[in-house]
Amino acid sequence: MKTPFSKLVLIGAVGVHTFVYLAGSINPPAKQSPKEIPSTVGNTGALESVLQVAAARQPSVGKSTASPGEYEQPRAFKSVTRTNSVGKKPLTDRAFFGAPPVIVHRGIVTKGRGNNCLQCHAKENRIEHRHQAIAPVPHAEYTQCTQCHVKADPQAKSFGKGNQFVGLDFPGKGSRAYPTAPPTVPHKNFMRENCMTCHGPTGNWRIKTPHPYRTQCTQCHAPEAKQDYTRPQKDSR
Amino acid sequence: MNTSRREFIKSAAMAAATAVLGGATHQHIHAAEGADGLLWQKAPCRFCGTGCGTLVGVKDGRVVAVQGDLECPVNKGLLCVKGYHAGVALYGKDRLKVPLIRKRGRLVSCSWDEAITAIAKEVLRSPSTFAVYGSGQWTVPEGFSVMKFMKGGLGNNHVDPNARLCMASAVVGMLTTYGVDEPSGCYDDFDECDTVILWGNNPAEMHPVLWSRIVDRRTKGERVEIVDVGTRRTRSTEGADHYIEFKPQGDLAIMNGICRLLIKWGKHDKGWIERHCNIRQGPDGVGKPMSWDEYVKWLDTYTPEYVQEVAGVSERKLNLLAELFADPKRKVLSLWCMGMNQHTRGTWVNNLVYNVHFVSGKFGKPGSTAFSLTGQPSACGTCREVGTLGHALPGGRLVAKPEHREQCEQLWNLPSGRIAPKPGMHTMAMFDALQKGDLSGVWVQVTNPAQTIPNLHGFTSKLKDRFLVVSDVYPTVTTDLATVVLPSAMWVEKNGIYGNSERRTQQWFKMIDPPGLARDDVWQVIAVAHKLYELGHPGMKNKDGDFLFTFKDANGKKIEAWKWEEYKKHNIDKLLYEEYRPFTKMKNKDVAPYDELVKTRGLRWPVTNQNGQWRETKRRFVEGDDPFVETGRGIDFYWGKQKDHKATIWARPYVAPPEVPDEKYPFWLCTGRVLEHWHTGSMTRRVPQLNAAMPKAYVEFHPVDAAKLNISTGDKVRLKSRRGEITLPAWINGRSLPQKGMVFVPFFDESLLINNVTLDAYCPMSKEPDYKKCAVQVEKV
Repeated sequence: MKTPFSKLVLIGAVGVHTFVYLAGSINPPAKQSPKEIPSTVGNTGALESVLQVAAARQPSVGKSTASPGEYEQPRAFKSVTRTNSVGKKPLTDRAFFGAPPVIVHRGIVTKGRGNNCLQCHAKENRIEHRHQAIAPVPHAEYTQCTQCHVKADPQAKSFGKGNQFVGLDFPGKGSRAYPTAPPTVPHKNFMRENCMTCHGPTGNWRIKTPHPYRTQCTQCHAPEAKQDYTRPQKDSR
Repeated sequence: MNTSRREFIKSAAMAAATAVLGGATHQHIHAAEGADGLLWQKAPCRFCGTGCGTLVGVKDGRVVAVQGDLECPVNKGLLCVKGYHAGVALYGKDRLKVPLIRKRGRLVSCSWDEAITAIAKEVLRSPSTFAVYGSGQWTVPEGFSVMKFMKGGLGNNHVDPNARLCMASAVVGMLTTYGVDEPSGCYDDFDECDTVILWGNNPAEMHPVLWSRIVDRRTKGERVEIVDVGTRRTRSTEGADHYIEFKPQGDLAIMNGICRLLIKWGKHDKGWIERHCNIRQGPDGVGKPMSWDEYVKWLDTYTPEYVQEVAGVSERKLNLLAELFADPKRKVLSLWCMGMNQHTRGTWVNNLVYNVHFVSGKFGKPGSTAFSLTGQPSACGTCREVGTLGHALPGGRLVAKPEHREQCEQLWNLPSGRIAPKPGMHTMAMFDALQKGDLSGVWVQVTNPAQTIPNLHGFTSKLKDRFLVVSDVYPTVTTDLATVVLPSAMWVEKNGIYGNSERRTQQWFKMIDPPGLARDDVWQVIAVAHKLYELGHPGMKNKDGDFLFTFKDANGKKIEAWKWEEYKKHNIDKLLYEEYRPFTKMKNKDVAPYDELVKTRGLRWPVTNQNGQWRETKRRFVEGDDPFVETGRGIDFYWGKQKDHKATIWARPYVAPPEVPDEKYPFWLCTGRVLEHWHTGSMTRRVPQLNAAMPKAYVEFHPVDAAKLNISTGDKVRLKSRRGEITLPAWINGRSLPQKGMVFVPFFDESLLINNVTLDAYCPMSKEPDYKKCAVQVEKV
């Protein structure tokens, strides 16, 4: 009695899987929103528009009338607050330009040497084989990921009465010697040694490189010397 | 457009810099204006004891960004998640902005004058029953001004810091071993060691940047072997090569067991021991001399079998540890923090870890040292060096010694006999006295005792009935009980000086204004002192009849520092620090002049002037490094208790902890911090990113225990001890993995006060309580 029944089950299971497999290959998931994949390759205009967008967000020089201590928000900065759409975009991913982004995806592995993140984030080549690309780590020598990148719980209730910190916004565009010259790098490069983390295929479309096949970025894009504000610009003494 | 902005900032910075030369305040030296239009200035991080250098970016009078300071040798550009978000912690919406006073049972806002007058009148009513409870997050001038006000002004020695709950055992450990407080080694040893032993320590979460400093060496191809000796698996265990689990309190036996094995194998460094150590026995800090043979015989108790029995460590694992110390080529660095300090035998276990390093001769060499990590940013700088402890006076002076009191009276220009001869209360005695009514009032600064005192109900339930003054930046469970709440300036809203774990003194300038009416803690102390002076308290005058805090500007004009507008115009921090500096010379802890601190990213004391150059000291007691070492000695413990230039090897036995799990209370309870939150979370929980990462306290189990009790993640669990109970959610296979029979609860959550459950027993020598072990029963609800 048992044998024919289990055979039936097996046949049924194989059949279902075959159907699912075929259906899957006939109807590939069409979730990608066209907005998020700008045609960038070979189109230098894209970067131009990126920079224009960035420039539009640049502050007109802040003349804050707020007296110190009163928490009026200068116009110059983007407010860093939580979004309402819980689950989709859990948290603004960083408090200010230069802050370590919080981990916003699910299924984070915190066990095992505290750096299991590197299973995915260390290997740039993986991103080509994945539907969802993964940003590589821009600072290879620092491996204690969770010491700076914490996983945020989108459902966490805020403590106290909220926070009015206003963070430094992303920098505007770098300067150009003449209209078609490669722009300079408008930020410092410490901890940002791998340009492709942000400017590669996984980066925000606004700052994606139009020529990802060229990988020697600093060959043409020179860091601005004055961006190295880690050092005093002058000795006031 | 941008140019004009930049020019404005430049000119502002230059104006400020010029003002420095004139002796005024608001200096922006070591400030740089970036292309982003921000003014970046240096400040040490205000959280843990690592003392990372940060650069704080300010625009339009607000902190808008924080980055790691590449120039700072502590962290070399890296910060942890708390450090990066330190600027966000300034801007919680519920910052305290006005003074509050309790009227008809409710806290209502009042003027500064009303608040200061109320405090002064209460102190005047009963000066001897008023205490100050401070903090390892006090800046050096804050601690120093309180000491001068209380001990030099009121003649009242009841000043103690929360550091009593944090590093007192490390202090007494060093005092009994070296004869003088604070570590010999420095962070450079982290770069040079090849073996790291973590004694009940979790630097991956508590000192993350130092942990990275060790672990990231591996990515550069260097070999570092890490052994975690602990009672629970933590994130640090994940980076360790070996994990050696022991039963709580077993550390005492393990360390003696290692010494026994080293001597048995003949792997001890006999020459080193003879040259640099004396041996003593006894339970206290004085003890009796002991010969080498007696010591060897005494160690015979600590056989591997005995260690296995009391510590639960197998012979194989004990051998593994001992072999690391036996290998003459290895450079072994021992690290510890609260696991050893918050211990009812904290002083002993601190002594014993030095024993292991002395017996193996692994001391004072690059990479080989026993390094006590400190929890708070200025536990070393303020509590230990300034000596904001009941029994101490600045500069390692003791209240009990008449000649020490006299020295302080002279340096403070006070009449003879002003400083009272009776030592003040330590923290636990202080809160016991407040509970019983022996103390009528207490001024709490930069800390939150209603959340952190062990056995809270037994020690803080009557606080509301006392005259409780709280200076803080946010509402806490302590401000809820207060009679007067004073809103304080925080971190870069004031000038400050911190001293970190490796003896590095770091300075920063005020960068932004505090919110609302919030004011510096130093000003608050001076204002109360001056009000008392006006009310006629005789102690508020120095020998010349002038006010206790009389400062003069560059032109010799007296500064009326008790007036906020006047205070703001001057760098009172510098004046207090320079007043304090002569004290530090008395125990060869010479700190650098203020102007040198301004120029550098901190200097490690002793800082001495050699041929016109200020030179810091990497390794204390080591010839060639430490200028106070006698030539030819190699290693010189020049403050050795026996005056023989030697450190002490102490024969300290294993004794059982005061409370052990039994049938009724079958589980160990261990408490501690987490990466995301600083202590009671009053600042870090107001940072959205940090709060979202760690929103609520939890209880962790070993999965086997959880299965037995049928508890899974998210289940509500009631923990009950002989002192109190608490109900919180369970987390299995979470951040850490306690050993079987142990539960772990973090203490940051003010709505889930685990200290209602903890034990108030403390080390008889250091008076530091044990937050790491007590017995609880567990019940699923």
